[in-house]
Amino acid sequence: MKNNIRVERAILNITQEELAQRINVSRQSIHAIENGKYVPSTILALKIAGVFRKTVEEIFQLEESDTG
Amino acid sequence: MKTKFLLPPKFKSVGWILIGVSLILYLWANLIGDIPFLANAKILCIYYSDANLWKNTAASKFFQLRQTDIQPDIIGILLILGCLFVAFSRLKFEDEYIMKIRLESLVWATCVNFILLIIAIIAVWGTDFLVVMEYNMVTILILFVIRFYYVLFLSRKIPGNEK
Repeated sequence: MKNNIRVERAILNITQEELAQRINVSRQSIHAIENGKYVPSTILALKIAGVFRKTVEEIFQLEESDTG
Repeated sequence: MKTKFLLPPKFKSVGWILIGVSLILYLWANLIGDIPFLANAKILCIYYSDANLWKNTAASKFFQLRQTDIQPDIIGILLILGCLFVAFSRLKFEDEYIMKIRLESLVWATCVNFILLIIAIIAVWGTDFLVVMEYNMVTILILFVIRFYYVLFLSRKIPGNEK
């Protein structure tokens, strides 16, 4: 699964740390999600999308490797 | 994040203290000599058997008051409790990604532990194998703690390209 959290963060001009604080997770989580090392739970995905005031689909997209 | 089965964060320092105490007692018993009160304690044995590896005419007894050496028991219990507390106390900031690292580390530690045990079964013969089993009581927890905190450490020192 890919995401454009990095781009959205740049638009809002917030760091990983600030995003992490807003949704009450560790900075490592944001880093791991941005780099595709960790797929967040639905709750966390909804929270992240909420910060950027977008839908989850606008932030997270399936990749070819996900459709097995 | 709500977590099941984990202890409050302050249990971690309690765990380190218990590990420290058990190590001190271990060194005391091995280097200095018997620990008073523990080397010859009167306790209630729920099950007692005088069987050993070479004779099987053992008499088993239940619920007996016996005068016995409980040094290894106390050291072992303190060490196991200490390791459990250190391994399974919640971090101050425990979220779902940390839980994932925790679970992966537990799987990793279990596999490595039993691979090491298989190697020991093949390599170690004689009564010294009992020593292997003694260490094996806590190696799974020690491996878990090492792996878990190492991965946490790696994920904390992320380069500053976060903007």
